[in-house]
Amino acid sequence: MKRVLQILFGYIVFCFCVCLAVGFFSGTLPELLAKSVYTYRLYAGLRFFCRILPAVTITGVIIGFAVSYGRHPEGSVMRFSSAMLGRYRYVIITGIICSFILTCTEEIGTPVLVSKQLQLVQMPKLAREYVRIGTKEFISGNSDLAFQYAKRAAKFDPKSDSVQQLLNKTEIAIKTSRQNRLETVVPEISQGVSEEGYTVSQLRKLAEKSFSAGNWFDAHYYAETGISVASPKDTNIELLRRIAAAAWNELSRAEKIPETEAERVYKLKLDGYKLLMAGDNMKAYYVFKKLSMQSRALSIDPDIVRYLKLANVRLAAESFFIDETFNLQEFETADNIYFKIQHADGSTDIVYIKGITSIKGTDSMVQYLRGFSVVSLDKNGINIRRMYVPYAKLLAVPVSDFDDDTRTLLGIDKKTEYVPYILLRSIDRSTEGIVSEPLYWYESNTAEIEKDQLILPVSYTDFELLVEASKGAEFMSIPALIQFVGKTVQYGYSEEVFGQVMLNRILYPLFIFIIIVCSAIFAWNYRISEKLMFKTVWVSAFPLLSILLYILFTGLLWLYKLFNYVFLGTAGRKYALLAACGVYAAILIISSIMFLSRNAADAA
Amino acid sequence: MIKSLKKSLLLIPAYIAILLFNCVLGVLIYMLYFNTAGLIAGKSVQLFDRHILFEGFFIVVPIVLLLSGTLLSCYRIRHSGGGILPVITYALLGAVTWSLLYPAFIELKKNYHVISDTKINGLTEGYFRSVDDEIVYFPRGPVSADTDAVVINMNEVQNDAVSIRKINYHRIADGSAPFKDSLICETIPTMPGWIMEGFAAIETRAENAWHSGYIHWLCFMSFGLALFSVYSLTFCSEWRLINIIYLLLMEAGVLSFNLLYFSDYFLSLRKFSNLIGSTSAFLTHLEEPLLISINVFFSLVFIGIGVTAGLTKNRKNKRRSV
Repeated sequence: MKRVLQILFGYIVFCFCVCLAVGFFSGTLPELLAKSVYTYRLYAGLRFFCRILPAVTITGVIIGFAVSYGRHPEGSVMRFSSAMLGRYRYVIITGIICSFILTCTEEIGTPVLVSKQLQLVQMPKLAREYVRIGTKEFISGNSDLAFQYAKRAAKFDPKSDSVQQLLNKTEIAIKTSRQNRLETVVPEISQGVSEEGYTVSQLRKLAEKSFSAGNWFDAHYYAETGISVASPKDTNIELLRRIAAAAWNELSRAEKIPETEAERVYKLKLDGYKLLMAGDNMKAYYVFKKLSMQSRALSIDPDIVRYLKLANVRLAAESFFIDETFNLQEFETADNIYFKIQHADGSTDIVYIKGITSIKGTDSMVQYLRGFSVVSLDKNGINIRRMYVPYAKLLAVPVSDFDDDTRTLLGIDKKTEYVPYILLRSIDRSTEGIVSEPLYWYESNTAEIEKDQLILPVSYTDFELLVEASKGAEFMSIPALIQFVGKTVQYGYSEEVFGQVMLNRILYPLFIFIIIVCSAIFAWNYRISEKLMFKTVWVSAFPLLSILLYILFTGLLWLYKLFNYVFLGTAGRKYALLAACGVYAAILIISSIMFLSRNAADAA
Repeated sequence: MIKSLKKSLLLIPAYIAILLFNCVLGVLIYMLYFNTAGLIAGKSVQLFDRHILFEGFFIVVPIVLLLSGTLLSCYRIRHSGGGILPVITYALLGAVTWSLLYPAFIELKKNYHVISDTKINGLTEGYFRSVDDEIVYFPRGPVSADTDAVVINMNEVQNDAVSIRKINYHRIADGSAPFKDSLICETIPTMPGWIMEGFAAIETRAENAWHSGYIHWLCFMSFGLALFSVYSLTFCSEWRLINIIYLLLMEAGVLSFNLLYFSDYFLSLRKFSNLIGSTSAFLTHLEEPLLISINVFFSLVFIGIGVTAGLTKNRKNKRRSV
């Protein structure tokens, strides 16, 4: 066993070095950052090694066992001898080790290396994109954001002139802006007096006086001013708040034409409040937003702040801001996602998403869907409607939020916990009227209510599976693949394809194990003669054996995939894994028996 | 002597068994491949097809005959020894294969015409299929002609990325050939074209040679001679594993050379061969005299190496026994 492992790992290490050398000295390079060239070549070498590792391993196993059996063939005069049983134990151990290594290479090594190489290829593009966006933000006056982009770009390409320039520019701009802020803000807070020069207690007295006089605007104004200049620990603040609220209540009752600026503001606040109460959250949002942007005093007006926040929260359930989607395309985690949704009435929706950017929110994941299209077909497969929106926002909402009727109407399964809730309308953060709404096309003249929100009648877990499936069955995680296979037809994917890939990947270790046992049989049959001296020149033939075994292994893998289709076709999805396991186990048993039945008559 | 005779006689049934086993195995794999290639998503797989079985027979048998030398050599390495008699039997079996079996098969093939299957199984509806850079979804099926489909064009301007339009069925069928459904060919790698094309080219050459007369067939047999003579190299090493490696590599070399000779790589060599061919009246009767010469030359080299190695080994064994 020791000799086998020595030869096996010795040969693997030798091939590893050769592959690294091949990676370093061959192949054309894509556009890369100067610092990534060596890493890229290293990954290329490692990928090449992963590709030939099965053939290299089998070569090592064959040579190792052939030498080991040749040197110690004793105790195998009869078939099924105890000596062969002892040797079989080592074959099993070697088989397990090799299966483990090769499966890890196939499932982890190669995908990781592919993605790492892809990352390196994307680095220059990303660095350029960060500099571009950063420069754009800097010109727009968003120095903080520009600095963040410059820092990200510096992570990839710290030596680049353009990155350094942006970094310096934004750093200086941030420092200057901080200094200015300190100069303007600090005195105002520390003074604790209003623009007119009143202290908090003076403002309180004025508010009380105005309130007793029934001058609600003044009372509210002084109380609000007092609140805005008072420190949070000020003892007057509570009383000021009460006066402001009471005055506001009185103002709400009073409906008269605004005459002064303060009255106009209060009237607008009142309008905004009424819109909010009426459920027109978008209009209410713009009223308060407009007010808050009018002056610094209004931007910290407690009523405006409070109602703006409330409108914002309510609006988040209806639409999202256009600026949330700026520069998202570069950070997409999945692209070209498509699936169908079959409704109970026989109609079908075909959904296509060009790209998805996932952003971790405060409590849940938010997904921005770029190029979101839905084509609706009736039960006869005839197109009835097409919808497109450049960007949509997807949130996972609990089904428990819906009553039974709504759930049945939407066609949501009882077991489903969360469903994707998609906001189709996006609005500008500060300007009313700038709206990105879904575009609808109808085949007939039937008028329909065009929705701004959409609930997909699929579970959120299924949606995540569909996103993963868009990468291809080979790149899905095995648990996700197993979960998805039963749902493929439901979403327009082929059960045969996903089922076959599932079998390919799950049974791969068993496939390798069988090959190792067969290699041991071959090694016994072609073992080195007991008295024969090992010649150094033979070592040169081992790489040639690896080439032959690479061709053979590729052929066997092709057959293995073909047979897995047969299992799926004959036993169906549910029993395919069982049937395939049974057949491969039978092959393993037969090859094991064949190994155990070897004897010395199989002359060296 | 008896042992040697026994070994050489055993070689005959073993050879027949090897040919039969490989033919059956090859035909089964061929049938399996083409039945899988005929699979359509959502429909059950048909495991047995008489038509494909016949078609497979006429494709697999010439390949097995071509590789018979390699297979028999492998058997001989596994069951080596026995002196000169098994080697003579090996040579006789090779001669019988190339002078009787191969021509007999060509005659048999001439009498049986395989009619290609023209039955079109429509594609099933309700699946997304990848066609070039587009994803196609057929809402109604079975699809066996041009029909309306939802098409997702991944390179299109986003607004027009999804459209409904008529799809050319033949474009899909041609794109996925030999698979009937483009979905299935995504996971089964197609048999490398150069393998099938290579064997088909050899078969065509064989048929042409046979139909052109005995001289031409004799010329073509130089290829068989080269393939069978590689066996001689298995006497080179005392470790049979190394012999197997030499054998398979050299067989691959002979096959590749005979295939690549007709490619553009050897265009100048072929021109040179034509030049030689036109120099004498005898050579004009031969097809590709240079190729024949190379095959014969290498056969002689292999045999020479084998004989030398065999004699050296014999001498060594005698010295050891003394």
